[in-house]
Amino acid sequence: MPQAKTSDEQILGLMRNPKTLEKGFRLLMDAYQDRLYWQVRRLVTDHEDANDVIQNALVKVFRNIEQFEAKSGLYTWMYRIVTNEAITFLKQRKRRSATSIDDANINLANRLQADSFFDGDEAQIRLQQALQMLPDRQKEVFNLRYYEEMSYEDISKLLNISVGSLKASFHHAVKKVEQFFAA
Amino acid sequence: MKRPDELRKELEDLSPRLLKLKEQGEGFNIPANYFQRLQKEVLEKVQATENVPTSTPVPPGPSWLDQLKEQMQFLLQPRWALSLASVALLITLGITWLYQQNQVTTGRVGTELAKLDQQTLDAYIQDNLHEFDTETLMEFASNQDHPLQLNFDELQPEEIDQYFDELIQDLDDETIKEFL
Repeated sequence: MPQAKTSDEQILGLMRNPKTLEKGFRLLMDAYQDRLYWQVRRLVTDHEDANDVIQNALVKVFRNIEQFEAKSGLYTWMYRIVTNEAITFLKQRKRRSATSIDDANINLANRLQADSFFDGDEAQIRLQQALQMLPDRQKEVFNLRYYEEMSYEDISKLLNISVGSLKASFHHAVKKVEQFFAA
Repeated sequence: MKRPDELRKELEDLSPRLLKLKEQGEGFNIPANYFQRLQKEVLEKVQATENVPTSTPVPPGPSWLDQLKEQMQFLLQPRWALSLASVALLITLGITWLYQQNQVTTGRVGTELAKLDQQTLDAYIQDNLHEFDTETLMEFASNQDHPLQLNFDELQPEEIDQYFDELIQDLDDETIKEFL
């Protein structure tokens, strides 16, 4: 996992003391905000949306740190909060926007082309369109494996899914992406 | 833990296209110094929401039955109950007195009318004939031992015509045929 256990304990120790709460939170963000942001960004694609989602999620982390019971790693706990926030956002956006697949793909292409923090080419836009069509969980597994380059064992610990299921999920996602490109 | 070689090998087998795309980069960028600003903005957001007074939830109001009970308990306190009883007693006495007064007045009128002789009554009716409708006059006349004698000499011709018109209107067809 990304951070040594002692570091997490130090951060938590600081955050449980009101006088050092802010300092602890800063350390927490120093340690994890980068990875958490990119996880969100790959789910929601545009920077502005990702920024809103990550800010809301980190505020929730700050407010609920007392409830963290250390049953899982600190990153795992935050990852779930952040991912839930992103998936909730995606569902809301889906409800607001077009319903057909074609319209959704056009919308995504338009959003990416308008996003000043995206400089991918046509193939990258097509990849994002293909990923958009994956179920949320499959997209999550794909992102962790393909972009984060995490081992199946680490993803298994993070998502609490067996390695076999993860491999099947990733392979299935890759096959769907290939089919999208071939179409 | 990252294992890029393991992934590369996997993608070579599964999808060379995705491996090529990965090597090109994913195309996502972020503004300069974004993560420094993110920290600042998140902390500002936390502080802003902490300074906002949290609205205390308003407990649900008492039901109408509870309100009624409460009002009844209030009204049944000794001093209020005594006041209410006094008011109720006064109202009852007032109504009773007014009813009795009305009865007395009606009785007195009846007694005074009984003292009047038939001639006086007939004269009153003659003088105020226009105040009575035909039906009342007919009923009055039929109940009298001495039928009402209309003094046609004192009436104007128009009044006599009007009297007969009203009388005819009140008669049914059979009765009119009998007269003819």
